[in-house]
Amino acid sequence: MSLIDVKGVSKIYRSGEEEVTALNKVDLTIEEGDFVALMGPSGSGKSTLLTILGALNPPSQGNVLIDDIDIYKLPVERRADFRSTYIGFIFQQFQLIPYLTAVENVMLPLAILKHSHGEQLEMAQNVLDKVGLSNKMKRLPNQLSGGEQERVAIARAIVNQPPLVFADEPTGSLDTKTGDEIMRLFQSLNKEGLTIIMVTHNEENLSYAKRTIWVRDGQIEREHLTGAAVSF
Amino acid sequence: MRLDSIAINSLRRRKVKMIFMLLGMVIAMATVVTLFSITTAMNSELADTFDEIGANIMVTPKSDDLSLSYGGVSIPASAKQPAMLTNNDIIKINTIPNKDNIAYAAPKVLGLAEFQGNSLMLVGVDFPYELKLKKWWTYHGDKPGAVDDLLLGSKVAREYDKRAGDSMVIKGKEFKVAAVLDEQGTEEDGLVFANLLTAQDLLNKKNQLSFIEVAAYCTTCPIEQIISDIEKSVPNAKVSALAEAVKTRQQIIDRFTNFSYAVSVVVLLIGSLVVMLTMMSSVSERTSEIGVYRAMGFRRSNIFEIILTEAGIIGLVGGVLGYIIGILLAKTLAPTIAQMAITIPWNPLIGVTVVFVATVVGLLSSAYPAVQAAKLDPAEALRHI
Repeated sequence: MSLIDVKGVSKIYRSGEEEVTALNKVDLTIEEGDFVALMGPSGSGKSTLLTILGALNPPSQGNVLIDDIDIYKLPVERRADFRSTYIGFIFQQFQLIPYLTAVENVMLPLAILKHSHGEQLEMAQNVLDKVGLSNKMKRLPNQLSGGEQERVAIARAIVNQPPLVFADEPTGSLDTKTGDEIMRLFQSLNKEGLTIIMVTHNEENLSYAKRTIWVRDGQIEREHLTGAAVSF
Repeated sequence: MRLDSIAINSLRRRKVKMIFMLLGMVIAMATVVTLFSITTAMNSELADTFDEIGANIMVTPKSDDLSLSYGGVSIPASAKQPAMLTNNDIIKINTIPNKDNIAYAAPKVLGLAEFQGNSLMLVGVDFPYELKLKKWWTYHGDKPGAVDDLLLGSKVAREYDKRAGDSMVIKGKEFKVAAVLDEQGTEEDGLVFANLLTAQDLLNKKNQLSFIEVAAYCTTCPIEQIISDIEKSVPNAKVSALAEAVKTRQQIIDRFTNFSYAVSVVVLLIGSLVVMLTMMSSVSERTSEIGVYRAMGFRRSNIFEIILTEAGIIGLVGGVLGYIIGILLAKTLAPTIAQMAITIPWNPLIGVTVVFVATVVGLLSSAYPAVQAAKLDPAEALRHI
């Protein structure tokens, strides 16, 4: 059974009388444990696809099923609950909350789940340890390097053990060496069973993904298995 | 990590924004407290001053037989023994449930006394209370107080050519004219005031009183309540309010009270507006942050709760600081603003009320920005990234 099943999804943005078709009848299937890279030029629709898959942006038409749940048939607040248990997000520019320390940022997704403070702290410390930041837990984001901030963002996305993580340009603001380290971290998380869908412009990142999908003009232009998948 | 810890950390680490919101709330609450404290104290002081310039309640014996009058109050004076009050009634008046509102009870006994073949109206008074009650009295001579002291009305002094220091013999008893009242333009110019007990002896009205003038402070209670209290304590008395005095005093107090309320409401509205605008700008600045929360699975109600918790904390702290600063300001500014010596007390009840109001104002003024934040479309919010 596929983890994500996208059926005939279109997204049309309306501004006054003008209509822009961001996605046009997209069909897509993503299996559990997949590591998918979404490639495409700016304005191709890949970020729109990511937000639609992430239960954040209702499509104009079509259905998105995750774990057999038609997510856009859920009421708004139930969809929020769905995101909190099924999905982790890693945003461009990390988007850490500037007034919270690294460990507090990681604990954020747990604030709305029923965990005690002790459990939250333990879970956050474990994932920060996993991403190699156990010694910088009490630092504020502006006291961390770009790579370290990215690691905190990854820890935050996986702390509640979602089956699915979406990453939007995760290496966009990092130097090549740090970018490679981050991609290796993604690869290792994927090997542990995490399904990752990543939007990227960087072709070097493709070798870490199992599958690359090219999006152009709101449609899937082509896709193929990449290095990581071939090597397995 | 709980939602309230997010709010607390947000305030703790976004100091400039927090200080700005707090400042708005503190200034608003402090201004309200300052104005309210000063005007309330002024009201009270004004009422006290007003009460002190004269009696506002008359206590007279119950009787249908009326003939003599003084100060608009008729005194029974028939051949038969008239109904009289007694010295004991003063104690009763001073021990009514609303006794704290009684400023002075000034007893009087009236009677006719012969002097050089003419009749004089002799008024036995308790000099210390009488002089406090008639603060406008000015006189030439020493302050009367001794048992054989007399205070002469100006007309009497003129008629009998008496000055302070002279002596007068009334009904065989020698008195000293301690002072002569300056012209009052009232019935008092034709009266002779003597010590109460001496006059009672002289007029054969031992332990009897013709009437009692009462000055009541009544800022916080209706004068009718005091009247009712006295009527219950002294059942043989007729108790009446000097309506005009009460009405005028009430009008002045009401004007001050209305003014203070109006200013307080305006300042409070301005404070609420400052908090609301700051909170709206804060929400607008935090659009992407809210988008991140929503993407993580925070419900709309969670966002609403975070924003309102921040507002509640601002209101709470603003209320406490506003009360403290407001009272300190009132204490400092009161003499200049009120132009009178007034006391500004620390009142825990008002303190708690101010903190409660500030918290409610904080919550209400942030309700709209909080709703806006909660309604943010997460996909739209994340576009700001």
